[in-house]
Amino acid sequence: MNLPKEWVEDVFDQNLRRSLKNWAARISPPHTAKTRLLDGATRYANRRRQRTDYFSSTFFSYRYTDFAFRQFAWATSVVLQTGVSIL
Amino acid sequence: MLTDKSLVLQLQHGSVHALGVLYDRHQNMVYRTALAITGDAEAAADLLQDTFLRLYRFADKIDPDRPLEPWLYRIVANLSYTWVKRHNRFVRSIEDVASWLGGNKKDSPASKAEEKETWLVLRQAILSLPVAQRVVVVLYYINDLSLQEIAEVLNVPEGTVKSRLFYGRQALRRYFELDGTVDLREVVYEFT
Repeated sequence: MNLPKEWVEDVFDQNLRRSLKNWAARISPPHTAKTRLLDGATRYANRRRQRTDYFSSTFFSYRYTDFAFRQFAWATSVVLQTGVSIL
Repeated sequence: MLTDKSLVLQLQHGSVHALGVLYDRHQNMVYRTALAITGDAEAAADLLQDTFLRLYRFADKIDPDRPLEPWLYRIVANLSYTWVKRHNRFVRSIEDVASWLGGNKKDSPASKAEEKETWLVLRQAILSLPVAQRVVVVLYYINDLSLQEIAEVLNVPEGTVKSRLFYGRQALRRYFELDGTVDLREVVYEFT
């Protein structure tokens, strides 16, 4: 079956559209849906904030010079302690 | 009244209030689309939640300068499509067995009377379509989207939309002719 080149609506289409719209107009979402949604969004926002807080409170909270200095201090102390223990 | 654009911008900064306003504005459209495609009120309510939670989570990927509705249509159509595919695979066989065990309910006088309700027949007619045609029929007749808009929402060529709509309409015509309870060629409905 070939498709028509032009899409032309007839009485069937008009009645189908009106009937479907009438059907759709009668229905609405459950009353609790909005509360459920906003609770879910708040939980998601809190989880995301906690993740961000964790990272910002550890690695990202150091300035890069602080981080390098801490690493240097740690490595030096390990080497010195090892040397002292051998002596 | 705040525009969708300004609400999306607020959403991008994590505003739950903006999500609530957008929900109030678009909930009916999203819910009705989901319900028309799935035919299941519980699933439609879940898909409504899922669509708006995605809007919240992925707000930073949305271009505020573009209309929001096509984005919502795309999400709810895709989620509904996936739900129908999954549901058909796992539940259809159980429903068939239940129908076989319980006898054909369509033959009982009570259900006959119930089925004469126009909206029930319409619902059944829509649900009888393959899901790809059903999505296009719902977006075209209920949501008043043009063929081009549907093509953009579903990310398929316009010819494909036209073809799905054509065959969907053919199937609906046949359904109503065979069913005989509703004649959409002649009946004019009263609207509330």
